[in-house]
Amino acid sequence: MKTENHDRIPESECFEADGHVTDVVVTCLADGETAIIPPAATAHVDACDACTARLGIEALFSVGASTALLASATSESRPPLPIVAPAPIRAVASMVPSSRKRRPLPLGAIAAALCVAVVGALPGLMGTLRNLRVVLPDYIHALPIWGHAIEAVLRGMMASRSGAVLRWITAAVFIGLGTLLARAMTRKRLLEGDVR
Amino acid sequence: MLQSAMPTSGPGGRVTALVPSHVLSQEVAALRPVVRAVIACVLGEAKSHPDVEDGTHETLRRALEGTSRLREGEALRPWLLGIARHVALDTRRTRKRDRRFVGDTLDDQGETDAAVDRLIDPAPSPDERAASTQRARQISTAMQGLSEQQREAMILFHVEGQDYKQIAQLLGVPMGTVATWLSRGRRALADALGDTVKQ
Repeated sequence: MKTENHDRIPESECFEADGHVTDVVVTCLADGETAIIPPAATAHVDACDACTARLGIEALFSVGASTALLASATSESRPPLPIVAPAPIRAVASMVPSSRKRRPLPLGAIAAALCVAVVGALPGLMGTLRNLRVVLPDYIHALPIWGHAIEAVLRGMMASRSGAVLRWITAAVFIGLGTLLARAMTRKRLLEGDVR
Repeated sequence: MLQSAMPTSGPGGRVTALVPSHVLSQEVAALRPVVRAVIACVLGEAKSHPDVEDGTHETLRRALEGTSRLREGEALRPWLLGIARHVALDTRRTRKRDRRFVGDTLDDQGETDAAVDRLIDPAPSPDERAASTQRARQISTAMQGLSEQQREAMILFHVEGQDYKQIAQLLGVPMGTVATWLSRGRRALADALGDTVKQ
């Protein structure tokens, strides 16, 4: 094969019979090899809409090929990435207790925390005990309401199961109302006591 | 005179060193004809069309303002042509919106647009990324279909970033032959990947 390593493409290879430049010129220009193209060929492409369009297509082919081959080369040379969960998922997953590895309970820390809680709650507990004499009658007054609620629950359990959920909800509402009523009365009584 | 240092392209078009900004500006300006050709091709207009001119200016402006984003080792040319592609695509979308607005639609415009979209945006879509194994197989098959020297020329130019003169010397062929091999190789690759364009 004849080896030709001139600095430029021979002009005879640059133009077709119809006056437009050859594909070789278009390819060279698309690849940025302007230095090896005779100025006349470059000037033609610059002035000709048809050859400019060919140049655009060839340039896009060139970029597309580079992208595809580089991506392919990169993926071949690089080992497949391990499947790693995104950081937020890993963070959440670390909070979920695993059945395979169970850490021993920090009993010392829990005991210390309970002691601190008891010491912190002591003033409140003492106050409650002091007020128990005032509070207790109100809770006793609320007992019938609790009784009705429990009765409703029991009836619901004994009745058909169709309305069981509704009855449970009703009972819960009754219990809640009873508790609120008892607390409100207690507060009122305490306030009246203060006034007195 | 104080000048900022910017990356510039060396042999094979790869950015190799930090040089004054005016050198890179010259290199970007030298690529103007190709940028204009890409935009004209994507828009399907003559190079003298105002949209093509506007797109070319916009591309060069973005490139000169964003040269700091060009990483060392990254080729200037594909980067710049990528910007040109995006600018042209933006113009096409604006045109499409305007066409829809006035109700003036072309029968085969949708198909042509899709074909050009595939070619002008070779970056894999999310679906394609999921099917990257298949894509790699297609590329491999297309490359196997080329002659050994063609394949070598493709790798030397597109992967290793060698220029025509170096490839011609390595393979012992004229530079025109290198150009022909590259052109045919790219078309074979584009065919295998389903990338088409209106001719």
